[in-house]
Amino acid sequence: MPASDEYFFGLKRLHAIFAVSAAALLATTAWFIWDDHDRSWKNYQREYREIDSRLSQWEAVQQLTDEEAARYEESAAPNAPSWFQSEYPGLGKKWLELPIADAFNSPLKVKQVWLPEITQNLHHAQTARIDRCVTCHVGMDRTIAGSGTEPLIANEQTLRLMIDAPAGSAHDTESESEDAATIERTLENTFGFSLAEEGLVDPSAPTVRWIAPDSPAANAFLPAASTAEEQSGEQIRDELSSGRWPDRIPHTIGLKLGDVIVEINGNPVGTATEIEKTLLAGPESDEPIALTIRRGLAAPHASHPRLDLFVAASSPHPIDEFGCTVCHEGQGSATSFEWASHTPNDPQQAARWRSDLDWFDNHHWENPMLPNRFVEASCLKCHQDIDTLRITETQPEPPAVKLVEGFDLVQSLGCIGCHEIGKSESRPRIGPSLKHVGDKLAVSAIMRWVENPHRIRPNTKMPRSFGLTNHLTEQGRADAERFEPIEIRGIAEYLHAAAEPSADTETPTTSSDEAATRGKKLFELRGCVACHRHEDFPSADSDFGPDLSNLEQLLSGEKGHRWLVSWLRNPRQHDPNTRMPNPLLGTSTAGDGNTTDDVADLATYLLRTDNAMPEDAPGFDADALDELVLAQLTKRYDRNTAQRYLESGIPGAGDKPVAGAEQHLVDNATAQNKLRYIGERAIAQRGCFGCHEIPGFENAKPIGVPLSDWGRKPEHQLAFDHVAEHIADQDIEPFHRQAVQQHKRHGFLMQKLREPRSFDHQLMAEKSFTDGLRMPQFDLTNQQREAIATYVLGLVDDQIPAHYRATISDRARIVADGERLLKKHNCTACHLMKPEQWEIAFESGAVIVPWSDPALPAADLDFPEELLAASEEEDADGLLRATVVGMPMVDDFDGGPSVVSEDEDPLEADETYDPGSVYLLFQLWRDAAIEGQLVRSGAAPLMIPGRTVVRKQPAVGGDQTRRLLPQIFEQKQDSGELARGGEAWEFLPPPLFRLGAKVRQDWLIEYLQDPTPIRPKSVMRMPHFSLSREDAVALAKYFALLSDLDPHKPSTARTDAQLAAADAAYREHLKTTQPDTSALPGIRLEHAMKIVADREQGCVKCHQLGATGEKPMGPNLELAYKRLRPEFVRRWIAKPDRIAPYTSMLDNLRYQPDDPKQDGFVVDYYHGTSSEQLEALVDLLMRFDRFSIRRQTTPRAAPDTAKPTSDNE
Amino acid sequence: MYSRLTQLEFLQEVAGFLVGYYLAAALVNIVAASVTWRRGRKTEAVVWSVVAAVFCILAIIALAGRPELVGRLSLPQWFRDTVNLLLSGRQGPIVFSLGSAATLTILFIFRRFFVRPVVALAGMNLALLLFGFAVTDRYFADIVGKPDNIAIVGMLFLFAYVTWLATYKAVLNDERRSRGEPPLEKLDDEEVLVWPDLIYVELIVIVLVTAAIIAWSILVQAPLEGPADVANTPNPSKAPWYFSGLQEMLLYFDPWYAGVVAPTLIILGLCAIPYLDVNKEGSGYYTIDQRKFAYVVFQSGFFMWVGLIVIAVFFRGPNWSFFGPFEAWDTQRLPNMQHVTLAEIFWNSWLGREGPTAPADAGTVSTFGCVLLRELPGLIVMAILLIGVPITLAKTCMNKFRSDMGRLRFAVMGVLFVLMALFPAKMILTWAFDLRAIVSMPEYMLSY
Repeated sequence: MPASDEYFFGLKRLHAIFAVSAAALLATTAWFIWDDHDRSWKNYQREYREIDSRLSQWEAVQQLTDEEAARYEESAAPNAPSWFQSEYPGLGKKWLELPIADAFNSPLKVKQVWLPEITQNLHHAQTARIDRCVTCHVGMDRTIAGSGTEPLIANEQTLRLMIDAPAGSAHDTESESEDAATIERTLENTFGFSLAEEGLVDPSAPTVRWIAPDSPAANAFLPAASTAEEQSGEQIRDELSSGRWPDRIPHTIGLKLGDVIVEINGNPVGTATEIEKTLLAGPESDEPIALTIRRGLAAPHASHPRLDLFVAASSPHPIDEFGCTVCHEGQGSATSFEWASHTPNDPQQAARWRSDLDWFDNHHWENPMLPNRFVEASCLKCHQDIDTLRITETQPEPPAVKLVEGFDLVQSLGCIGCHEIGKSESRPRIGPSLKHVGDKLAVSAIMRWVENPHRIRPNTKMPRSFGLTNHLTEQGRADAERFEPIEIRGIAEYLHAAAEPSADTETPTTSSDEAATRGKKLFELRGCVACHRHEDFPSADSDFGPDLSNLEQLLSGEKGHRWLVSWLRNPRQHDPNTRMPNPLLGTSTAGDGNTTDDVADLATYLLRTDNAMPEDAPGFDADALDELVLAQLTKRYDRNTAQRYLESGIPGAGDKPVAGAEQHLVDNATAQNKLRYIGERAIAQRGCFGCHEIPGFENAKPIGVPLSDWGRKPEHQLAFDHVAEHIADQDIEPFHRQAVQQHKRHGFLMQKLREPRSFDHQLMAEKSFTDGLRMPQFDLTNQQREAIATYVLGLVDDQIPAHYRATISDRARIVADGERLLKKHNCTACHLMKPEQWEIAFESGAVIVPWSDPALPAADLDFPEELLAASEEEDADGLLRATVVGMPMVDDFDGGPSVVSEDEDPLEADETYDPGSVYLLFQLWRDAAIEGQLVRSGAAPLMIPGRTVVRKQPAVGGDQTRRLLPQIFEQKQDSGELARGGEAWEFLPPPLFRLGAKVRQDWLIEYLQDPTPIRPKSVMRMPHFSLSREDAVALAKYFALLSDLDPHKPSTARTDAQLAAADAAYREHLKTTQPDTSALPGIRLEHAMKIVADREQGCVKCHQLGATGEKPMGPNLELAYKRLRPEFVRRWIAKPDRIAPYTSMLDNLRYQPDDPKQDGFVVDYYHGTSSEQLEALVDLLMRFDRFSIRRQTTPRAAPDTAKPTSDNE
Repeated sequence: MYSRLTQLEFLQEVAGFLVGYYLAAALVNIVAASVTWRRGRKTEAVVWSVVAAVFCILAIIALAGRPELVGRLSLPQWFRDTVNLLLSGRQGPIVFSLGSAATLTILFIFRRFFVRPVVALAGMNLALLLFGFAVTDRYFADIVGKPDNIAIVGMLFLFAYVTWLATYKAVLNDERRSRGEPPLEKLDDEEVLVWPDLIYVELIVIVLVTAAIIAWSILVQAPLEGPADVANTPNPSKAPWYFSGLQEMLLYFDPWYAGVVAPTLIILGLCAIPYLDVNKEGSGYYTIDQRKFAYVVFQSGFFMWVGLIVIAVFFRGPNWSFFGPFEAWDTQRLPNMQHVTLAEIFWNSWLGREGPTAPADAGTVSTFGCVLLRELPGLIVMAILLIGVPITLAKTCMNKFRSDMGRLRFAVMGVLFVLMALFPAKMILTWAFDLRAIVSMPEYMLSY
């Protein structure tokens, strides 16, 4: 058929369809252009620019004076860029942001950090890191003007601030003068702040844009944490001694630019006018008004927290060198929220992100961002030396608390006994050695303990390996109940069989009730409670050593008693690696002259007989034993052989010698041997040797998975199996439950720590009892588990260039080593290392400064002038600031902290006081500058009003000592041995504050290795720690360094030549003043000796010197030259309480600066001023060895003249 | 994709999709209603309006923001369990392939009923509803919602539509022919202008397809996965959808055959069709009755190819195991790996002895002889299939064909026909009897 002129489809119809489809194409094209223009990062950048310009404008106005501000307001309007001023017409630079145009030099740009050195592993290659996070997080590194570390925009938080109602509020306006009524009340003139017309992000949010200095707004304060305004005297003193004090104090922080007011007195307010109306309507009373404010902005506009540490250019981790993903993980090259692999920190956040930000869990990116709670894990990449993350002098706020806690837990729980981490060459076994356990524990006691250690000692570190059947089915549970008792019995039998007898144990003396009472007293006062908990002393809760409350359940019977006595005599005889020092217990002499054996008394006390346990081992199920032996044998032999061996033992004379646990069954398969066999197999499988030294397992391989790069383990390789079903109904934090359901690495880890065997859920039907999971269950809190998980997640073994790795300075290394040793030996339980440090902010005159005793010039250290000047400067709130170091004054009535009321009366326990206005008496231990006045450490305490304490750093160490203070006080006051409350310190282990400046290093090294008694007054005695010489040296260096001494510089006394010169000068001096005395060489020290030797007023009145002194109170002076540094001795004699404010030693060389002669102590003994006498005493004491040798070999320089007058000039 | 969400979060996600989906379904029915109304089929129009209203209500429920309500719009659990039981594991592929073959046979036999627009539309509505209800199952949603698989789901609907259209026209033509009328295509047999009737329409289609692809690219992100890792193969590791049928064949045939020989044969076979076809009828119009053999054979091959893709994309999970559509893809499930060859069955199971093996020092010829002897049963079977079957067919039911086509043409057709029929047969043998190969000569890389 020929073609017709007609179209098959009507042309009009086609046109119409074409028009519609063309429009559709245009629409989709416009859509994709818009989609690009509207990408979230562009909006974030636009938003941030707006916020930034507003804030800086407000900031500028804030800095202006009133007139400048007025002028600024007038000129502000024409300041907007006009058509002609702008580089581009009309929209100005916004032209470049329009769709399509924004492809050409748009101000909105993808910003990225290019990190070719810190590569990431993309499997096919180590590739450079490209972090584009700052594309959205634009202001990450911005700080407020003039500060290197204060964030420009803090992370969003809601605060409740109190603002003072204006003076002359509603109820007394009528009595106000006419003038007041005529002036219109505004927010500016009433409260001292004004609100912006437009908020920072949300234009309608009522936002603070200006604050008048020193106005109620600038002085807005955080209310006290406690709602109780008044507290009883007892509460106040308790809180002071427990360190909770400053929580109770309102804290001035002031309103800030950009704060959004959300509520007034708990009522929500929406607009600026509403706020103005509510605030100016006149409050009902003088009570401060509560404002709920929203401070800061949410991500991505907020600055990074801790800019002093991260991101900022001046921080150790500037963004240009580190980027973001090396710490946070995630996909750095992404420019949208959902693809960057953000990870929510809780399910609520996940839901919010999902609905607001289209977030989804992109499991294809193998290393998503770490959830906030685990973020510290990445620190470990570079800070493999964990000591670089600990508190140091330059780093007082620890940067990674959770990670360090995790590391410490992993160390202290003995995880490395089973899991290899890094290249740890040695695996210290954290549990006691079981080499001699046969002497110590009966089979029944071992069984009781192994079955569930927590039942006997709830806080023991030993994990549970038996009875973990929660995840099992009926059948699995029945199996466990049948076989576990056999394994437990087997372990006990094996340990007994393998143990070697230790050195002789001694037969204890008979015990009595009196002995137990004496033992109890010894237990507390000899310092056992510093390491061991005991239910008799609930307030001492050290968990350093084992809890000794139920000791008789383990050390039952006479065997246990014998062992304990010999253990207390010398623990290292039983276990050379034990942490327990030799307590050096001896005999005590009671008032009636009877001597008692301290060791016997302590043992009697610890092994109370009232709930002793049976000693005989219970019976066992012989069939179950055979089944278990068969199951173990079939792992090595075929079934028939195994059956034969089970019945008649393994033939010893076979071709191959029998090795391993099977040796127990050679030729003789008695029940006893089978038990030992099962025991050895059980120990091998359960890995007991990871923590304990067990004979026969010296070279056993650890049983756990190596953890060196566990943090990079692909999630699909983790065998979750059915564990999600197991925990579906358990009470677990939803975050962690979901992490298990979603097969997250950290979900696996947390569940493994929570219930290590639960991954066997529903799998035991196919496994035999002996093939189940083996990790024991540790008794951990959720927080501890998270800390451990943080550490393990950080074990990634990434390739980090060496110069990124954190190294520790020599100085910090010495400190870290020292602190590790202090911790290892629990020194800080007894010794106070650092007193409390309080920061106070006060109005002039609020703190009552004591009068400082004048002292010999030698007593005082130089105080920096600039600190003195700085203490006179007021801060932004008009307050003076001071930092004081010392301890709360010990009161003279009960040995507790000293607090007085406003009227300077001691607090009554039952009466109530306003904690803000009571005076806390603070004993300075270091010189301080208060209001331009230098206050020396020493006798009279500062009186600090409670409200002025802004922050308090607790004392370091000495918890035990401080706990004992009131008791020692009571005891010694009864016996009349102490005059002031503070003197109670003298009976307790000495504070080691500035120890390095006090003692000679060589002496300290020697002393630490072999302590000898020094202080006759002390009720405790330093135990023998058997420190190695290296450890002692490390500690000595540490103490030297803490006292700002060069650890390598030895202390020197005056040389012989110097002494001779001084002696000659003294003889010259004598010739002029006392021509009649014969002045032989050496007379100077002889005269100084007279001061020392005077029994009425001299040193020997209190100090021992050779054989003198009946009941000495102070250390032996004969040995002082070995122990003390001359610099210290000089300061000490000059003014003892400058150094130890609690001391009972008086300043014997009285210093009278007004007296022109300045004659010192009994001039007839030594002719010279106090300062000269001081020098002579120092020379004498520091060269006492010389002096005594000389004295023995040469005739007395000066014959005993008549006894000098006791008059003191 | 959805497995990391909680049930509620998943339902929320799915509800968003269902709103659009049900609205689109309603729109189709509204169009159907308006067309039928205009054509005077008023009862039908009312029915489609009611269906549209039902879909609208479903859309509103999905829009209500109550995920738990959406959860109710699902297939009953017993139904899902039954489907899973039938379609998973060892019997899954057998049930699926035989079931589809049976269904297609029924559809073919009763094609005159099934192609009626009312029935077809009803069927489509049922399919839409089933799909909508199935999507609220997270495992089903996981598979069909994968960005890679969206195109395949769309293709299945498209595939059903074009098959229906062709069959519908063929049925109409066959009916006309039985009444002695010319086929429909003859009626508008006039020639049309290239412009505007062809070019303009093509232009419009180009524009619309471009717009659709732009919209798709904005709405659905490219399905990128994790960085490639030489140490970790994804599980399952799948070819792109258009190759997944070919990948599936690798399970049943020697790689040489499945990857090289078979595709070549398919292409050559398709090329050969015009030279093999001697039927002069059915040219230029749709018909089934006039070329039943050609239609059935071609459609079977086509369906088989689509079926292979569907199996590979939707049913193959981790470890290449077979999973039901409402089942979690459990990485623990291992496929049956104990495959045997025909020679092993023959020598070991039937004769109870080891098959002949050449001694280690045997020469080339004697080794070859041993292999031939071992594979003798398989070789005999193959000879029967490739030579015996065509001859038998020529002598019996295809006698007429043979005489029409001539000997050579029939021989080629016969061999191609047998090879094609062997595809499904071999697959079913593998599934049912673990038969890996009829002839297995790995020594010479020859297996079938």
